[in-house]
Amino acid sequence: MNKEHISEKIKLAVSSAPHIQDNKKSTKKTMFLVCFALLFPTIGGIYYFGIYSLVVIFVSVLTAITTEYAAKLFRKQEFKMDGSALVTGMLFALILPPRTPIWVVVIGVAFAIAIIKESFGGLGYNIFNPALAARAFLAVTFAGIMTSWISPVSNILTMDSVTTATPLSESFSYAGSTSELYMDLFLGNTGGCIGETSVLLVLIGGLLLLVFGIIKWRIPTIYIGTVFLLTWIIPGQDPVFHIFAGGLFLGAFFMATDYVTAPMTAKGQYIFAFGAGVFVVIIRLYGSMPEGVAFSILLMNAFTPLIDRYVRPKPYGYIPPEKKGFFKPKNKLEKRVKNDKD
Amino acid sequence: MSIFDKNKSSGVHPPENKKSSNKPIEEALIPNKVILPLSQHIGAHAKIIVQPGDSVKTGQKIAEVGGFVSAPIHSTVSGKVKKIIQIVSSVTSSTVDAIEIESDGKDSWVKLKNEKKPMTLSNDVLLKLIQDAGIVGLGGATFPTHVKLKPPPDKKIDTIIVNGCECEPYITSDHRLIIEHGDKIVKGLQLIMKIIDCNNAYIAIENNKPDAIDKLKEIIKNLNANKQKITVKCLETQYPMGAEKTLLKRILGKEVPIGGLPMDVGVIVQNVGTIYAIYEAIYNGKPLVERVVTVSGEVNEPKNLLARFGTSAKELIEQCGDKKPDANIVIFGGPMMGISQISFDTPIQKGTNSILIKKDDKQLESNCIRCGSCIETCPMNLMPMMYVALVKKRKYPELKECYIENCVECGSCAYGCPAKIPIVQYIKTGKSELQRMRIKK
Repeated sequence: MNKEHISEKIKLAVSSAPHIQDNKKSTKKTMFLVCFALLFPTIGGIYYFGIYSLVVIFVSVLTAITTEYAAKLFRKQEFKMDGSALVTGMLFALILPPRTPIWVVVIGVAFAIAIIKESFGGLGYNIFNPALAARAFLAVTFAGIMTSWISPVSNILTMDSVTTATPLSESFSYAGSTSELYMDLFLGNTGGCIGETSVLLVLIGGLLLLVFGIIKWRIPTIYIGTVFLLTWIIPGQDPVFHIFAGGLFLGAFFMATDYVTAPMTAKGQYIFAFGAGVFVVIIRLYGSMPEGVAFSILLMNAFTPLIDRYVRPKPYGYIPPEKKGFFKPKNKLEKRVKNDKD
Repeated sequence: MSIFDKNKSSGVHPPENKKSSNKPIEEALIPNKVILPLSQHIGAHAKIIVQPGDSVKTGQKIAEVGGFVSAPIHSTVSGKVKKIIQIVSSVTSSTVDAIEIESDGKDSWVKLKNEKKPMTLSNDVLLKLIQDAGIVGLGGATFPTHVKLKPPPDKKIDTIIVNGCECEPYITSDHRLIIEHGDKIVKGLQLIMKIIDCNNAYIAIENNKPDAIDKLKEIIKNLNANKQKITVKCLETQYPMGAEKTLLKRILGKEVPIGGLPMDVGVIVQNVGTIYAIYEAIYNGKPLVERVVTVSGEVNEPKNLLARFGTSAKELIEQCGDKKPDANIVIFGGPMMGISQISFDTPIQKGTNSILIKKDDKQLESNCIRCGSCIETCPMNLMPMMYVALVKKRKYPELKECYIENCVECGSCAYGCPAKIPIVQYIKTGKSELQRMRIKK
């Protein structure tokens, strides 16, 4: 009977409110959706630079997961297949030159996971984007390998390749008209990293992320917009060329938007994206390297904690303190807290 | 509503699950015994004025106000006072004194004094009637209503907002109350407008209750309200629309200052349930002994029951066709802010608007990935994840600099967190630690 059914024998679970969670959102789902979006640049990489790109990506992902497992074992933590290692592995492979030797790939991705991610505390605690930091690490240690580029291949099964210059390097020359150059850059028919050349495919992936609600429009738009505006203002530069060439789109949609290493507030994201855009232009035009996307994002990653500390949303019901003179005095509440401490 | 609306509030939209929205209010059975805690409101505990062994009638006062911010308590059945016991409070989860009354099954009421022309009474008399009826805010905060209706003289109230949003999933008690007793609510509202001498009122309802909106609009159209202006405001369905600060901003575009009350910007927010109780108290002389409670979730027949305070959750669940076998959480209140109970025997009290039965299916927390979704959804524009980090590091004083006291614990952040971090739990810990530090000083 009813009376027996509800009895003291049933153990009730007690937990804090809220008692429901949004099951449409989870870390794992987010990561796998990013991986799905990354499939588009991946397809481009295989199409333009041959099946070897697939091998690079495969090795990179496998090493990333293995390294994460080993690191978790070492740190005596539970290994969770949350997909973050998968994203790092894929992203890292996509920003390598097409003919990077396998052993370099393994070293790079192991560095990304073990040093950049896990030694800082694992998912959510790393200051720098693991894939980009490892890319920077390889750029200084294996400078030769990391700057040897090839032209898109005619047959994806072949290992034969023709060395070429990337659009951004000084020795780059193009035979056709400007509109043909734009078209080649847009489709990805040019030298560069595995996943960065095709603006079109990166854009498809990026728009998917926007549609899924994984990323917000703020960082990619402001980042690309800043580069466009600055190269437009600076005489002798072609803004369209600058936003299409190199890895700006890949960086803007997939790396600058990395949750962990970008600011969390809307205002902070504007500052972050604008700063990254400025750095790209400075490095490309005045630096010793042809491409500046990776370093621009890494530099702004370093600023992220600072931005998050000082750029905070105005709380509901906040009354701004009265302005006195040129400098704003600290607000009353903060002062009171300080006095309480004394 | 456009994205450029400055008053647009953030928040989340959990599945509504209002299973009982077309079930009429049913009177629950009179229980064999009731347990009435002495603290069913915010403020000082009520003082007992009966002895064990006394026989009481339904509606008889058994505990008197214990201070300025306090409310009396009435017997909800007729019978005999058995003993004074200690029970675990359904709100604070600490022990409180409670009166156990055994019902004689007759439910004989005390003599009710009904007012023929309440609008001609003086405000002090009306406030006294409200106080004597033991009315508190029935939206869940249970602040004594007579105190709220008597703001300090330096605060001029120009607007009353009647909160019929009921933004919490599952709960339908206010919705049914509007549909079945809309006329009484409007009459009650007119009384309040008279008491605080204010001629402008809004009744706020979310657009997922079109029947309630139509009903009220019709009543107000046929109303000969001389100069009192009542507007029904249809709002988009969004949690936490019914939180008074969010509601105030959405309707009037004003923000309550940090640490302040709505009366600081000249507004009083009242729940529809409270207003219905005021009507009953003044027009029918009926003290607050019962309320509409939605029983929903994992029960076979979700219902809206008019239940006496002190009835155990078990009895009400049984009247709704029993719970489903694997449900193991009993929540008083909604799924977003309700409090999970330790026993099926916990009695309902004035602030209990719903009994929700659920399965324990919460996922465990993982690392924060700093996605910022908690910041986007916070209706108070705070940075909830920061509180988690600070509480984990035990840096409690810093919480104050981040305006933790501004948090209304609505749970939007924790609901939408992809890492499933119980953010509200950390915030509650932080707040209580701050409180403790303050007491130590």
